[in-house]
Amino acid sequence: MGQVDVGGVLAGGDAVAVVEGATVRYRTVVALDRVSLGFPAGVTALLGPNGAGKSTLLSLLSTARTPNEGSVTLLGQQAGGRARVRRLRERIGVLPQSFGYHPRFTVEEFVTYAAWLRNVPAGDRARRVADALALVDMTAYRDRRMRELSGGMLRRVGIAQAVVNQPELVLLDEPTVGLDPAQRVGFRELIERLGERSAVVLSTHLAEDVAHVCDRVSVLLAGRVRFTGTVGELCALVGDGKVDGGGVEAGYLHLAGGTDGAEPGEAGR
Amino acid sequence: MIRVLWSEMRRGEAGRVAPLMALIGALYLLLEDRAESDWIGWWADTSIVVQLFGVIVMGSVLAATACWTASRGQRDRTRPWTDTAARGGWSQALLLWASVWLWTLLAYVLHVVIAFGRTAGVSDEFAPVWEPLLLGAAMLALQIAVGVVVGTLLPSRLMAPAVGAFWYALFVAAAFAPGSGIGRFAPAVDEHWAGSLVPDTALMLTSATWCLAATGAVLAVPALARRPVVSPRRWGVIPVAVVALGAAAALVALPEKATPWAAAALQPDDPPCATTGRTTACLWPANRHLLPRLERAVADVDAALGPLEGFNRRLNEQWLDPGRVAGESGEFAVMTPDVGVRRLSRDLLAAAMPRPPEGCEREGSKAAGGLPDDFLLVAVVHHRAEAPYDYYGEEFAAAVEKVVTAPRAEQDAWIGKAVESVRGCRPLPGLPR
Repeated sequence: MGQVDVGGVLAGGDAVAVVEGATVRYRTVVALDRVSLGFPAGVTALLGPNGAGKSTLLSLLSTARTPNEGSVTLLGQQAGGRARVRRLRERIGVLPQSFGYHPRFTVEEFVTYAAWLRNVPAGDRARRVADALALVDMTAYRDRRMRELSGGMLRRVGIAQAVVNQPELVLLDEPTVGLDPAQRVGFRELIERLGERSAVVLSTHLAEDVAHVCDRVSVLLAGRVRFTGTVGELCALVGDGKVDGGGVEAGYLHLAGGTDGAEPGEAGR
Repeated sequence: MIRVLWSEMRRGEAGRVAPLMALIGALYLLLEDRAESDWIGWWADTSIVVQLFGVIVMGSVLAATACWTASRGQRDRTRPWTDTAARGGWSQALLLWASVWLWTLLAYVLHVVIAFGRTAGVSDEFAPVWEPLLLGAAMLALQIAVGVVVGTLLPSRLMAPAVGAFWYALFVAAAFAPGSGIGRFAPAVDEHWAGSLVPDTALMLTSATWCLAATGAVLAVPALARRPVVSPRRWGVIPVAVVALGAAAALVALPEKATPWAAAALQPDDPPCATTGRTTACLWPANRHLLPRLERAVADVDAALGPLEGFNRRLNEQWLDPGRVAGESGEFAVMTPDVGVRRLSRDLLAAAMPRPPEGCEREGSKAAGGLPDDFLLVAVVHHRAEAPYDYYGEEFAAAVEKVVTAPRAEQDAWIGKAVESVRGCRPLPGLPR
């Protein structure tokens, strides 16, 4: 089988998810413009400003949407067709940007419901729910109503519902927004742990998150991929190349500035 | 599935609304005056009244509740992850629907228990009639399913009350347009069967099949209409839709009758009857519990009529075939299953009165205050039996008084001639002096 290089990741090789030449239009607005990206194991960040197309790209990866042009291959299968999509969704976990929940459910009931939605076999459901709650350190709160949880706890329950089916691909859309610094640090550790067992795609516009958690990063600007590579490569675009929040931010601003006039150089691979 | 369903039942709004409706229905059934009730004591009517409250009141409210619960995806912002779930939209809708329907059924069962208990306290037999209850449960399923679908597709706070109002209005429309066929597709049986009618089982089962199959088909609509949601399997939806269409076609094809949901009961071989002297009255078996009261009422009537000739001495409950009996027979209706002796006596006496022949147009007479003069005969007989009779003004009352104050033999003679006049479609004889 031939291998296609998509943003430095070989489709059909080490990529868990591959988007090739994907264009998504909302009426006259082009949200994604011929985007080609591959997502390997580990944590990959999608970095970009609001409206850059990150959430649209995640909607392709979650099979919520199909591209107007191009293709999406997930876990080795072309995304499309009712039965295939259903099977793929059993292997994918999603934490949407605006994570909604049913306030009257307890934490355990809520994650059990998520497990049911993701077709976790009934016999395994209780164990998987317990595992997911343990992963996010919410076991002690399993009988607490959702409406009684803090913002940080809700995010952790959001992660639990996303991983309760033990997905091979986890999609996290702005998971650290609204968290205080301490919660954010804890959350990054959690995402790192997730990256050890699944391919994680993390949509964010927080450079700190990218520097601390991600192995790879793709920068989206105005619906196009402007950079894809390791975090180190992004940081190396400008300054001393130090891998930290400042380095990521500098690299990102260098790319973003290019959109305002200065054409950025070909970045990453 | 059971655990998830239980969570839905515990946390959904139906868990609060259904108990409230259960309480309201229980009060409605418990506060019914047994002596005046037109169902306590008749098993068929007991089922009908539970079914009717169930679909018109409880069903409308719980359909609104289902609509509200189904719109929570929008309200709670859970759609981004529920819509991308592996579990299909049909299953999700079925889960929500089942959680509301089961709550509704619990309330419904409570109502059945209360109503059956009250009827068992009057009736001599335990003979539940299941068809209206089954039809009610099926209709509740459809009402709630429509609520779920509307709440999913049009998630607005206004839609829940709109769904409740829609169902209520539909039942009102069906009641005012009995021949329109609405009632067959949105069945709310609002009839009195007493003992002479039995459920039209084939029609009711067809209608229940329609309701349940339409429930299944309707619940698939959101999954078919909303793109990100996994759509139902074709081999799952198509058979359900075919059954619904088949049942609908059968409902259209079945002929309309005078009584939409009932058929005439078979004539009993051995109906409960009471006889005193020359007077006999018979009941439908469903009213066997009234036999001791009937015996007293028949004795009253026989005493009131005494040796008078020409009255109906064989009295049958409405639609009960008198069979081959000597003499004229009269028909009386039992209006309430716990009817008292006085009321029964009055109804029997009225049934015993002679009737003019068919086609006879009775003219008003001066003696009877301008009213048809057979009214006067009725009034006189009732007066003698110390039973109430209708008052038609002073002139009429004076005529009655003139007869009943005459010597007994003259009264009897006048009554005898009056009976012949009524049966012969002739004017009444002159009043006694």
